[in-house]
Amino acid sequence: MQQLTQLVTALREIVGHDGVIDGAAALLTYEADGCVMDLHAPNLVVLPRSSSQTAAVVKLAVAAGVPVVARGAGTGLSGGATPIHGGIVIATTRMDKVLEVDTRNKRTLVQPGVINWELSQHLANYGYAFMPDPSSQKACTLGGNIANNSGGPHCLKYGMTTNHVLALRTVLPNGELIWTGNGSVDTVGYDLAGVMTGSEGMFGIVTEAWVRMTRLPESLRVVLALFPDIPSASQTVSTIIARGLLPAALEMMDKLAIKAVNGMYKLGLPESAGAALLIEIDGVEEGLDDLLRDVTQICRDHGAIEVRPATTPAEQAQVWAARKNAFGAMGRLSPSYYLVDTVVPRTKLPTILAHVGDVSRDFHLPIANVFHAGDGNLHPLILFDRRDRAQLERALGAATEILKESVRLGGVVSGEHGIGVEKRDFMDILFTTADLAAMAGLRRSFDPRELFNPGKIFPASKGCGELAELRQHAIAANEIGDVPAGTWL
Amino acid sequence: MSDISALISTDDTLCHTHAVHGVVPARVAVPQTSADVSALVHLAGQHGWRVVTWGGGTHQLIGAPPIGVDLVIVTTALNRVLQHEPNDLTISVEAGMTMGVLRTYLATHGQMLPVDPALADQTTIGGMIATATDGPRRAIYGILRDMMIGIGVVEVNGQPSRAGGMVVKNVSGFDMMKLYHGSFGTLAVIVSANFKLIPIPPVTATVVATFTQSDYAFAYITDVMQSQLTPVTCELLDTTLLQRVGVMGSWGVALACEGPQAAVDRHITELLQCAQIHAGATTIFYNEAHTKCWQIIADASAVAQLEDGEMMIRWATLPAFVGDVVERIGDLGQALGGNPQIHARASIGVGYVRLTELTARAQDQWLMALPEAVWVATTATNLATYWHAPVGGLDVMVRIRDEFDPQRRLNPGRFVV
Repeated sequence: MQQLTQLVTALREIVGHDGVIDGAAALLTYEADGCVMDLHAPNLVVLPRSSSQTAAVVKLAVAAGVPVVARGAGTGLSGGATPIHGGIVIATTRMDKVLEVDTRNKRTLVQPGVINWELSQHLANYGYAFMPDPSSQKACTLGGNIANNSGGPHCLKYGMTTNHVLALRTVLPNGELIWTGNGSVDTVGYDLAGVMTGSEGMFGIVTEAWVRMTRLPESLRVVLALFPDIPSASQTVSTIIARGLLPAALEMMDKLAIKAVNGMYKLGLPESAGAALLIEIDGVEEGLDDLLRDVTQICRDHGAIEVRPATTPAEQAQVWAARKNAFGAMGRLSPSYYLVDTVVPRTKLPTILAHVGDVSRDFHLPIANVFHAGDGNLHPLILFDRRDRAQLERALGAATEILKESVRLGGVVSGEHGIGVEKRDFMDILFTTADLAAMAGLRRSFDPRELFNPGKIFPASKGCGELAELRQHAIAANEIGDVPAGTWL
Repeated sequence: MSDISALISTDDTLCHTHAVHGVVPARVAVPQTSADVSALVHLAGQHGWRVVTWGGGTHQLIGAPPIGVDLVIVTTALNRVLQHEPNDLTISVEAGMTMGVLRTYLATHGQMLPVDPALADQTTIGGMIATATDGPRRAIYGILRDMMIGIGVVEVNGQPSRAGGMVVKNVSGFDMMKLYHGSFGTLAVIVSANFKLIPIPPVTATVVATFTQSDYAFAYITDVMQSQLTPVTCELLDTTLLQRVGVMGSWGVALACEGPQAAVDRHITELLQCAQIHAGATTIFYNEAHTKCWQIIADASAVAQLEDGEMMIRWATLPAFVGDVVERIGDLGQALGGNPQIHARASIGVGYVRLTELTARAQDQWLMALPEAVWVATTATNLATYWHAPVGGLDVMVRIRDEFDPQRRLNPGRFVV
């Protein structure tokens, strides 16, 4: 306790009195992110304003042997920002400036607390955008996007956050402040920016980032296609992908999701429709209508009931708002939902969606589907009432079933939300001990004491430290562990 | 183990043809499967052998000479497609497959992995990953780093491990693909990789605009970059390379356009108009002429064989500074010699300069004067340093190497750590 008091005093010398939060009630705000399955309050929250303040805070924390957890807006859905071992949460809220817009080099220098949507609004003034656009983009921060390698609907054409990061200024877990490069596309040595992106706050804290700006497309077309059922819609997705038409976004909503957004956004969609596809294509004006005709024809060939173009920007914005806020609209249907993030090879979409339907029946819980169909990235929303213990258990059981089936179909356990606490125990369904041990080795290179975001990604039963020890021993002794049958070897 | 020993040869000729930057290995092995690779690397561990992985051998002159080589593992027999579901637009291949074979295979399905390395018929996928190989279409599509969705490696003790998967979007665990990409064989032996693919576009065409002065060429590039056009390449060519693609001029800009006919037509029209504004002359290539032009440009960065006194430097800067670097290279040519031949992926800020007839001392002087150098390929074995750009986070890179190759047996001495 005395140590904590001393730490608070020292931290306040760095970030000012109001830069440290230590009141019990205030700390409760930080006990979870958007994943409320596992809760734990931090001992302190620190709000630095600069890279050097962050580095000084980290040095103090690691000297005291206290865990450090970075937090942006707390919109993450896998518990990545939940301090499950307590310690210091470093919130990036006060580092929220766009420091430079460099149109000649199509890059922008941002602090980690900049909100994704606000960055793109700002860049739109110059005719550019930051392309990754998670559904939470109106709240989530660039730092969080980098930590989670976030996606979004437009990642289908434009790639994930990792494809848009040029260089990172990072406080490493030893307090060292580094730039991974100068923003040019090639650097010398290992690709630190590449491995840090998506490392869920375990390799350091990003305090500044050079990210790519992408020219806003000259033209785009948006259509909403309605289908009688999910199989016809998912076959349409498969055909569009297989034909190589490369839309900018290809999103699906099922009947339950249509019902939820219809009321809220007055889309006037027939609730008899079993599924809706939102398709966006973009590029130069020339050729776009031909592409639209091809896409529309594929929809009709697969039994679309109706294909509605959203022609004006206002109509397009309305359709996109419905899609991006669909999770919020679920509140109309159920007091709580569990959003499962999983990916399958795109040709397996019809199979996995049929399975999700079976799971819904078996577990007696409604499941809505709103997702990035073009990437094969599912987001089943299991609707339940968390106050009802039995329903909560069933929801967890249903999620487990869906994740296992995804892996069985050649998929993985997270497409864009990350592993965090939520999915750490699914990692050994997907990976062998050796696969995980290599990740543990990498983590230990950055953080041998495991103080940065401890308790994440690695299974509770196979902790990072244990895996790294095993691996170091195996390398020293030149031993090979078991290679399970069925792996590529 | 007897099977594995049968894969290893100490034949003098074979060892000499697999000399790594002048260092002749004690033995060469040609594994037939990734299990063979695992057994070979494990055996190397037992004997403390230093191991160099060899794909097509097209990049072995990059970086410093190895401290020593006890075993070269040649991956070219690992050349199978492991999994390809055309409708998923994903593929898993073994690391020893050449880009040329993969390209031909994918074309039969109307698909492509849009990277155009030099010497595609020799360069292997594993070698491209290890050396972060690029090609002209990096301007839009990036490099294998941006397309790789999974990887299989054999670690220094022979242990196989994987990361990623066969889906196009995946944040299940750390991005180990980025770790191995560009690690120059220092962390593990790459045995397989998975990629996302894209369909071959219906129409392709090339515009080569030529200018009497480099200033005009850069003004043209700036205008194109700021426009709504999305040419898939934007390559600055000097007069030598221009001549090789069959166009006369002092400086050229080659731009490839891909997509539906209407979009390609629009690109060509505007690229021609824009060239006119900057006093440029233009040539258009379609079909075989287009393909041939880009093969010549891609091959311009080849470093498989260099004469003594020859040196190739890959450099990187911000796109806005490409003009400055090109000008400086011209000045250095006057001062230091070397007859610089220049080409650059101008819209993204990466370039290559090929130099000839230089002493090792002059090579060092060139590098000192060009801090943008990312790597250098040369037969010279006594340069002051082979990796010139400042390295951010060197300490953590050393710790990564300590974890993955504590005894420095993988490609020892060749990389920055």
